[in-house]
Amino acid sequence: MKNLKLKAARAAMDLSQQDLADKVGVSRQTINAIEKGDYNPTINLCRSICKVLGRTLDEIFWEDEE
Amino acid sequence: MKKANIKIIISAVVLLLLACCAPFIFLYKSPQDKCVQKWTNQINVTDGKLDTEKTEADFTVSNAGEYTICFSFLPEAVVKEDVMTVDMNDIGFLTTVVIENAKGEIEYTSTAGAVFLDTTMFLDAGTYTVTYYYHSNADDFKAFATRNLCSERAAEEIVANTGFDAFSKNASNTMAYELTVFSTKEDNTHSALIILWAIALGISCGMLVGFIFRKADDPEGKQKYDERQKIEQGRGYRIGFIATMISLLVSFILHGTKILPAGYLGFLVILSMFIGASIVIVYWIWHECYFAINENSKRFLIFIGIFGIINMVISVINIMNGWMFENGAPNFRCTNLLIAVLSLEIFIALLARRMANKKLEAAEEEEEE
Repeated sequence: MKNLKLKAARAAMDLSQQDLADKVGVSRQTINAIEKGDYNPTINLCRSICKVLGRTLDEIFWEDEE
Repeated sequence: MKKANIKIIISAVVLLLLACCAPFIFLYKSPQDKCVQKWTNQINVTDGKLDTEKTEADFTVSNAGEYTICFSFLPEAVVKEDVMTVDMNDIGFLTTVVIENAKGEIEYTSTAGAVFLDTTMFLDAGTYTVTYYYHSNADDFKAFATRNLCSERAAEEIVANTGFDAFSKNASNTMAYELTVFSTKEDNTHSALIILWAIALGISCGMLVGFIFRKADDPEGKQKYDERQKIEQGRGYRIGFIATMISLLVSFILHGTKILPAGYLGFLVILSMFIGASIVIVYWIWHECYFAINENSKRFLIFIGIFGIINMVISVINIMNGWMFENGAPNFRCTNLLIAVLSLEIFIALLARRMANKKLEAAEEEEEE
């Protein structure tokens, strides 16, 4: 499932995938894979991403119940 | 001292040591390798008769074992380019080669059409005599054959296939002989030593170049793989391992069922390793975990392309000259072809990944807009 929340949060901060990747210390392809839902990051990487984007884990990685 | 520097120094020292070994490797000759004798004699044909009945040479074997004996005898007038096409009929008379031990017992005999003969046989330590007998006509040869040096049937066939046209006119031939005797064990040891040395030299040279490139790319040694890349690398290893196991299994089945000649086993084992390696590398490239974070792949792309082309050129030269096969099976030179295929496969995978990335990036940009 696509992680549109991450994509939106990144776009809100005007960061490219490469910028975010550099800030959290991973490759651009890893950020891309997370956004596309191809890769489930570890809790450590989730926390790093949330810190950079200034959001909580729930805001970025918790799925909304429909 | 940094880890990268230590790697470069160690591989440079190994390379230097191997390079220093070169004179010893190539100058090393087993004692039997030196057992080469060359001589000539004159054979005159007068009124249909040869003036030379035989010529002989002795050789000594110091240790009992398996030996390869190579005979070469041909008229000096034959130009070197034509040597391989010459046979006894061109010379116009028959020659029989006989090897006898010190007791006069016959160890080997051959009346063959070729001017080059080689045989591998077990010899006890001692002195042996090689005698080249010449036969002036069919009756003379048949009489000689009664010494049980060949069967009567073979003698009939040989005579029927020989023109004896050297006796149609008076002529003179200078024959050049070369006799080489060497232990197959020592010969194999020497060849294996050179091949092992060359492989070690190639690996250490490749490692040195690789470490230098790595150092130039990442002087601080900070390049690393992220968690997703490490997981994908693990998957790649797993798939490569399974592929190698399956390839090896198929190789041993082909070998065991004798579908392919026995000599192919070594090639199939190397091929299995290359199949495993190529699957791992292509998987890593496609899942973007071959290069570390932010590592530039452009230099590697150029390097692997050139490396692949060089190996392909070497392979084509090997194939065109027939150097890739030995005794009906691929020899170590097939490695060049496998390396060429692997390099070009990596090159194509890298190009395809770059093109796919460009398309994806363009699509994402459009989506974001």
